[in-house]
Amino acid sequence: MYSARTKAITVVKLALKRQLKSQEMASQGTQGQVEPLSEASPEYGCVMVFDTIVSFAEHWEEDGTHVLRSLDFDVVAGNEDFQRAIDQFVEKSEDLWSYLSGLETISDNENEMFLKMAPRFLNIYKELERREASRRESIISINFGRLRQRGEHSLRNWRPSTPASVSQPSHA
Amino acid sequence: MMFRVEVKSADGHTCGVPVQIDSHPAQTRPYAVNAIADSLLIDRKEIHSVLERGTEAQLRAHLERYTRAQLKPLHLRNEQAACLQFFEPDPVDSR
Repeated sequence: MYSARTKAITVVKLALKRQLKSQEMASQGTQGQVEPLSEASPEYGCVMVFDTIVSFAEHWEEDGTHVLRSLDFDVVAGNEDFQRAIDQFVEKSEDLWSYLSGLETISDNENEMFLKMAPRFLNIYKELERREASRRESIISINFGRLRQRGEHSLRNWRPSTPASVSQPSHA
Repeated sequence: MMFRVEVKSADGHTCGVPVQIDSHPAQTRPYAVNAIADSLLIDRKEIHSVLERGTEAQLRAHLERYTRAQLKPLHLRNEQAACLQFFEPDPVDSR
């Protein structure tokens, strides 16, 4: 629905609130015995867009790939770059949400997933709309600003309107 | 890419099972294949052979052996079903 615009913004705004096992363990004084993240022992967090939770998720590494798996619906995303894995996770979640919302008949199981996603994506879209509106306002005000600026140089400057044949008044 | 398999569950409910497939990685990643296996309630050990030679009819028949509760997405399932064998055991092997 809003994917092109969302992409542009989410890349900047995404954040995964990570509860790093390594940090937890370090604070407990067990530094050096950090268990590597795996599917069997992942770290938990949530993927957020505009401070709205898209999904609680687990994260682990697999052959140099960061894998994010939703704990709320069927979405898994992976990439060598963690931030890109988050971006993909959001895109795939949005794809699933769009897909479910476009179904003519929806089963109970899918509806359960849809209802979980609906308030979250609606919040995100509202925030996106709000930001778009304020962006448009700022563009308009910049344009007015430019017009005003241009006015100082072009509209308010003096233009000769007398025909060239009319003799110029003598200042003598 | 996303598709959906609609089946009648073992307890008589119409259930849709959506499956998302990554098309971008050139190399198949284990997590991606495992995710397909988990969504379709196929044993991870069996998923490669299912992807190679399983048919749509076999997939529907496989999913129809589960109840509505078992066909929920992995983390929404209240009851975890043991994955049933996708292919019928070979009569030669079962002797």
